[in-house]
Amino acid sequence: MPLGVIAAVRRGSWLDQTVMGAALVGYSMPIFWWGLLLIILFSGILGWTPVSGRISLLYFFPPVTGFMLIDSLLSGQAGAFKSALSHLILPTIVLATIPLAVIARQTRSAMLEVLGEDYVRTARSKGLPPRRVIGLHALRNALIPVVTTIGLQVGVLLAGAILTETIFSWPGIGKWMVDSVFKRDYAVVQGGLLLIAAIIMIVNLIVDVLYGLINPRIRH
Amino acid sequence: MSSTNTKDPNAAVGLEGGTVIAVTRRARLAEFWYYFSQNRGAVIGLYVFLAIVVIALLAPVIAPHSPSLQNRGFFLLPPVWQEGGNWSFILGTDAVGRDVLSRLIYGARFSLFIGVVVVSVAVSVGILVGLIAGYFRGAVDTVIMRVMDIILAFPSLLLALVLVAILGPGLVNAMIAIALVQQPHYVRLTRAAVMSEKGRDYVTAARVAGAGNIRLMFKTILPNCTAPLIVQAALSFSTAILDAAALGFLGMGAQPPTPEWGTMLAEAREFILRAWWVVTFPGLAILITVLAINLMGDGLRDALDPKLKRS
Repeated sequence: MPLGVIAAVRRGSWLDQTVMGAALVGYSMPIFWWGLLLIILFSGILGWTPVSGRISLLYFFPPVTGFMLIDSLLSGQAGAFKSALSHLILPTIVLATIPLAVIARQTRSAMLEVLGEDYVRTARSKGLPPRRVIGLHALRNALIPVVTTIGLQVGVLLAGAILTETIFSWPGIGKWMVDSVFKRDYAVVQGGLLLIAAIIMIVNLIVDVLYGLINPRIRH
Repeated sequence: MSSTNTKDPNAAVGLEGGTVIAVTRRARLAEFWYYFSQNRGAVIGLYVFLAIVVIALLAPVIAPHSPSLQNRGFFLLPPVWQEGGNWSFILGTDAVGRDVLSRLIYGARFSLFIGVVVVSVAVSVGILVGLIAGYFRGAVDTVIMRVMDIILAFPSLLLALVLVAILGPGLVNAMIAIALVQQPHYVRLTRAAVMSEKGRDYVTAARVAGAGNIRLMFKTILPNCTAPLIVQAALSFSTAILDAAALGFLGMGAQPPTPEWGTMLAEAREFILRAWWVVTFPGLAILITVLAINLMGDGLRDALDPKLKRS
């Protein structure tokens, strides 16, 4: 989002062009390939991050909360937290690529539209510092389409999770769905589909409520 | 406002005869091309896309080897610029000795084929349903739109995956699933455009002149709703390729001997740390194709959207 704002403010500059070019590439990226490529580079060649899984096999502790990061902290074993964290890096990058690109593009176009409005010119001519004009007057009004996009990204994220979890062999909803599809376990497929649809609907509801917070005019 | 401006000359021209229409159509194409070529990225995208189309059409001529020929002497041969590379296999070979470059070239055929089939199915079904919903309104509209909302509530890839699981894995089933998942977008776009066009004066005029429902729907209203649909078609072409590759990667799309890019990636997964080329090139092919189409789609949108044209 900040990238989109910067690109909009400096429209046409090299920074704008680079950010938007990168966003377009990210938007077109086949994320399953992106994941494999990152594994080759960071795990294969550089050896910085582990290839797959959630934590190194050296550590074992009973799940308390189910969140690997919190559990590893609670277990008190040295290095466990670090191991869990380093297993998180690549999947996070892979999963975040497309939403990042989409949100940056959306922010830029929303900002461009708003920056052309009269009240932004008024704010500028009042002598307000550009930071305040952009951050308060423009960004707040550009936020509505952006929030919509962020809400819609949850669906993309869950679909991306299918691929990402398959690549990094994480035991999440996505891998669970794929496995049950392969095993023809239709009850699980139906249940999982329903769960995911419910999550998306709840997020969309939250987005609708957020509209009212951002723009008081929408409150009835 | 802007759309009435573009429509008025047409109405006048229609009275004067056929040749004038041809001229204005060319003029409009020229105007479109002018705006399209303003966008440098779009033109690059167009050229890359055309190049891919040519490669796909000429695949048997260009490809150095058959895509399914297994060369027993050359398993996992690296590309030519690496040590051990061989000029007859420019991008190396895969685990059973098939030439990666040839498979990529043939893969372009599958990807474009998927894109064309998916988009045409989705567009024709989507426009028909959207037209009916937007034109008749009432109960028909409500039922159709609720069904579309249900489809849209699921992430597209997930729904396609489940549909393929029910239909059985395979390229044709994957295409059906992706087309089904994409078609709500067209329904919504068409419906919105039809609803805004339906109240216009020229539609009322045609109705007063005695045009029936079918004629009003297809000849009077539909031609004026095409701009957003063209843009959506271009953008969903790339989504179709991406989704088909993702399904292939999960083993649910094209089945293994087929040189489809996603399937190639899935086959190559076990060799990622030993042979980077079998993984890198198919993905690169997908990325370049999708990127070219997206650039083109952006250009189309800028050229066809009158709101952006003014600024």
